[in-house]
Parts: sequence; C-alpha cells; structure tokens
Amino acid sequence: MKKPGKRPKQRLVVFCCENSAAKAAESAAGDPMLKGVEFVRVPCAGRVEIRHILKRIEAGAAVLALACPLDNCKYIHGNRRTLKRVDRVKQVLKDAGIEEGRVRMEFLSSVDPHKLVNVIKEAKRP
Amino acid sequence: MITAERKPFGEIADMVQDAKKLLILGCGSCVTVCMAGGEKEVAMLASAMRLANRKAGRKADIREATIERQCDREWFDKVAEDIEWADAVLSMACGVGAQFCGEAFEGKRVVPALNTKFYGATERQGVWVERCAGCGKCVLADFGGVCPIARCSKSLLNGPCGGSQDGKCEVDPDRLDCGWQLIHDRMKLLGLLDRLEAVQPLKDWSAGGDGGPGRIVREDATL
Ligand code: SF4
Ligand code: SF4
Repeated sequence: MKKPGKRPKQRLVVFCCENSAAKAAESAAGDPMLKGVEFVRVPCAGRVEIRHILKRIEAGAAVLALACPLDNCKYIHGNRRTLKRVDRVKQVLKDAGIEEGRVRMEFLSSVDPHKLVNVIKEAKRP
Repeated sequence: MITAERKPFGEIADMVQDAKKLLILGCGSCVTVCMAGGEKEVAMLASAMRLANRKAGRKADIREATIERQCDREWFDKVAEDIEWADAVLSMACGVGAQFCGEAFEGKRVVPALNTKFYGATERQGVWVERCAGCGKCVLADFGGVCPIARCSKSLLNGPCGGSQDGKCEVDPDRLDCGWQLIHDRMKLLGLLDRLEAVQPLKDWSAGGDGGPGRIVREDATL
C-alpha cells in the first residue's frame, strides 16, 4: 500500500545553455543530486521556447532553465528572452490551475558547478 | 497585416468546454507575424487546454494544426479531415479566417480564440501599431503619407483639433502622438506645408466601412 502523503517523484528536465550551465554540469558530473535529471543542451538559453517547456510539463516533468548571468549572454538577449518566456509559461500554468513552480529559471556561469547542484536540489523539492 | 491578440484563457475555455474533440487551428500569415495565432501560439494554447482539462478531470481530445491562411479556401484541404473529426474548431486566425473556416465547413462550429484589432505594422519586436483603417479611398497623398483617419483619434480631415498639445493627442497624451502633428511635421519636411491650407471636403465613407459588407470583383480574374 502507498504510504499516505507520499507523492511519486517528479522528473526534472534541465535546459542548459552550452556556454555556461552545460559546462558547469560537466564539472559536477557524478554528484548524486544530478541523478535522474534529464539535461537538454541548447546553444543558447534563448533557443528554449515556450512550447518546449510546456511539452515537458505536459509529460509530467518539472522544468528548470539555466542561462548565463544577465548581461553576459553570448547572443546578447538570449537569456532575457527566456526569462520573459518563463514568465509567460507561469501565466499559462496559472490559467490551467497548475502550480507555477513547475518551471523555474536560474542564471549561472560555467565555473559555478556548486550553484548548479544547489539550484537542481531546490528544483527537485516537491 | 491584420493584427490580433489572444483572448484570455478563461473566455476561450468557456467557449469550448463542451467539445470532446477540439481542433485548435492556427493561421500562418498575419497573426503568425503579430504572434497571436501561429504555430507556436497554437502549441501554447493546446498545452494550456490539456493541462487545464487534466487538472479539472475533463476528458477531451485536442488536435493542433496550422495552415498557411484561413482566408483562402484551398488551404483548408490539408486539414479537412481534422475539421470533420472535431466537435468544434477553435480558430486562431483573425475574425475573417474564423468566419471563412465556418463557411468552408458548413455545419461545423467554429469559435474565435483571438480578438482582431487593426491593420498595423511592426514598430519594433513585440510592438504593433495601427496605420490604416481601410477607408476604401486612400487620401495619404494629401497628407504627406500619414493617415488622418487611422492616426488622428477623431479621424479629422481638417485638423488639428484644439486638444493637440506638445505633439500629443488629448485622448490619451501618455500613449498617443497627435496624428495631425505628425502630418504637419511630414508636410513641412516634404516642403508641402502650404497644401494643408486647403479645406478637405467631406469624405465618401461608403467606399469603405459604410454601406454594408464590402465586395471587390476583378472580372478578369473570375472564372
Ligand atoms: S486614407 Fe484610408 S486607405 Fe489610406 S491609409 Fe488611411 S484609412 Fe487606409
Ligand atoms: S489631438 Fe491630434 S490626434 Fe488627437 S484628436 Fe486632436 S488632432 Fe486628432
């Protein structure tokens, strides 16, 4: 019998900009916190569209978008674009009556594997 | 292009709540450019509907499709089967496309997901502005290429009114430039300012919005 209050673990999909978060993830490889996390490597956080995020949420996952620090995007506006899109996704979730925390966004640099592990830990919390 | 904005989610959900099989149909032309009803917006709305249905324990099948245009009959062929299948079609085209879809598939319930706004241009990314009101007899030549009908809040042909202050329109000075200030500035730039001395006669509105639904017939193009 299922223990009361115990919810099935939600999958976490992390979109990683290859200029920052993907490199940090390589450095953090082997950390137990990264176990079971699906990393999606993108050329820039700006490549992540609203529909990409929503498709993953529809499939039952939580989504974390990781971009370079603001004002430090290789493609200038990519991270800000995604930040706005994440806000739009939150609005969609709110409309649908779904918890907005199913999508999050964080900014980190390639030399920040600790932050990467921490934000993933945070995002894994139900 | 024809510009539009998506209706609030709650309004859309109410319109289609009894549809067990729903087709969300985007349009690949104007409303794709103004980011209201193209393929991406179809995907976003479909996800929102599926998530909301699941949350509310409602069962409904939702299909997504986008065609080149909903204001030309031939493009519907590609999605005819999906339209036949659906209890209702949620059209993400402008009001023209949504109506034409209903005409092309008689007896099919077609509801609009967008509020159609105006004929506009892309001022900058994410910002669209009105430039023409489709009056049917263009007078841009007399006003330096700035439309007095679409760009003056009162559509004055012999402006400005007394509410023009510092280049702003009294209707909403924070948001609106005075159309007549723009006309004046452009005519000055073109060296045609003296032409504004002329009193413009009453305009024949029957050429455009007045006089019932419009119709254009090009004899040489008809079959
Ligand atoms: S004068 Fe009429 S047709 Fe010409 S731009 Fe203005 S509203 Fe459009
Ligand atoms: S202030 Fe200018 S734009 Fe506004 S109504 Fe008067 S003339 Fe038209």
